[in-house]
Amino acid sequence: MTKVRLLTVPQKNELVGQTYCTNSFFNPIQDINNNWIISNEEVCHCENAELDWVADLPEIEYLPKPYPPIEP
Amino acid sequence: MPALLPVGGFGFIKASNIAKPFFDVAGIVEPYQKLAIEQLIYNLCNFGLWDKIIALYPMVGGTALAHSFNLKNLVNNNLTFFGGWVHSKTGAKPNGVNAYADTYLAQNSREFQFGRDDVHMSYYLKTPSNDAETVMGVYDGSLNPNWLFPNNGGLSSISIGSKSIVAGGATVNSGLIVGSSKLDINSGIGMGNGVAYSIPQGVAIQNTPLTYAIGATNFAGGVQIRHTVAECGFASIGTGFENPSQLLLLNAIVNQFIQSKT
Repeated sequence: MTKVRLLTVPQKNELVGQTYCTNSFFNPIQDINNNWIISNEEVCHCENAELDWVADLPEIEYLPKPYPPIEP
Repeated sequence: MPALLPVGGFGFIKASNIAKPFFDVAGIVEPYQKLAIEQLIYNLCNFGLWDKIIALYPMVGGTALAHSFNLKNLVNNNLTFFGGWVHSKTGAKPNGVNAYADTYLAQNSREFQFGRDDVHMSYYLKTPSNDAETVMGVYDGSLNPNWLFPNNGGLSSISIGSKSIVAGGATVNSGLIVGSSKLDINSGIGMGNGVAYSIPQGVAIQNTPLTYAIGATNFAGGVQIRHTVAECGFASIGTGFENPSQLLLLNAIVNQFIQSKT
C-alpha cells in the first residue's frame, strides 16, 4: 500500500507553485475521497526550509481516483 | 550495430561541439558520461535519426537539474519535474502517484512540421511499470490519445497519431518502448522488447495545445493521469519513423548509451 501525506486546503494552497528541491515542484492532487495529498518523496527530499512543516503532515493510505477509460 | 565513436575524426568533433553546451549547463564532468553522450549524438547523426528528434532527455547527471535538459535544444522544451521523483545516476524514477515532468512541447506545436500524424515517442524503462500505467503521453479526452503503455493487462499497448494497437506485444518490463506514426504511411510502427511491429490505423488525435508529459499522460483540465513507477533512463519525442529498421537502430543506439552512461 502506498502511503501519502494529507494536506488541508490552506496547506495545499501554500505548496502550489513551490519547489521542494531544484527544478522540482510540489504537486498536490486529490485522492478518491477528494483529500488533498502530496507524496512521501516530496516530503523526504524537501530542501525548502520555509516548508519544513511538511515533515509533520499525517500519513494516510493512497486511494487514487479512477482514470478515464483506456479506449476512447 | 552502432559504430564506436571514432575519437579524433570529423564525427567526434561534430558530436563534441553539440555536446559541450549540454555538459556545461547540466554540470556533466565524468569522462565516461561525456563519452556516452558524444557516442549517442554521433550514432544518432550517423544513422540519420538526429533530425527526427525534437526533444531528447538522456537523463545523465543524477539530479533533477541535470535530467531536465533537452539535449537537442537547450533553450526549448527542458523538463520541469512535478510531484515525487527520485533522481540517480541511472535515471529519474517517478512515484506512480503524482509525479510527471512537463516537456512544454505542445501536441499541436509547429515543431511537428507535418502535423498530428507525424510523431514518435520513446521511453527507456530501467524498472517495470505497473498495470495500466502510461510512461508518457498527451490526451485531450475527446479522441485518440498519444500514449505508451508498457503493461496494459499483460500486453503492451500504443496509441499515437492516427495509429492504435491495444495488443502490441508482450509487456515491456525493461528497455525501450517506442511508438511512431508517419504521415501517408497507413501502418504505424511500435517497438518493445527489441521487436518492431505494425500499428494499425485508428482514430487520429485531435490537435490540442496540451503538452507531452513524461512519467504520466497530460490530460485535459490541467491534470495528469495514469502515472507510472517505471524509472526513465532515456526519452525522446519527435517526428515519425519511415520503417521498422529505424526503430531497431534507435533501440541499439539507446541500449549502447544506457550501458555506457552508468
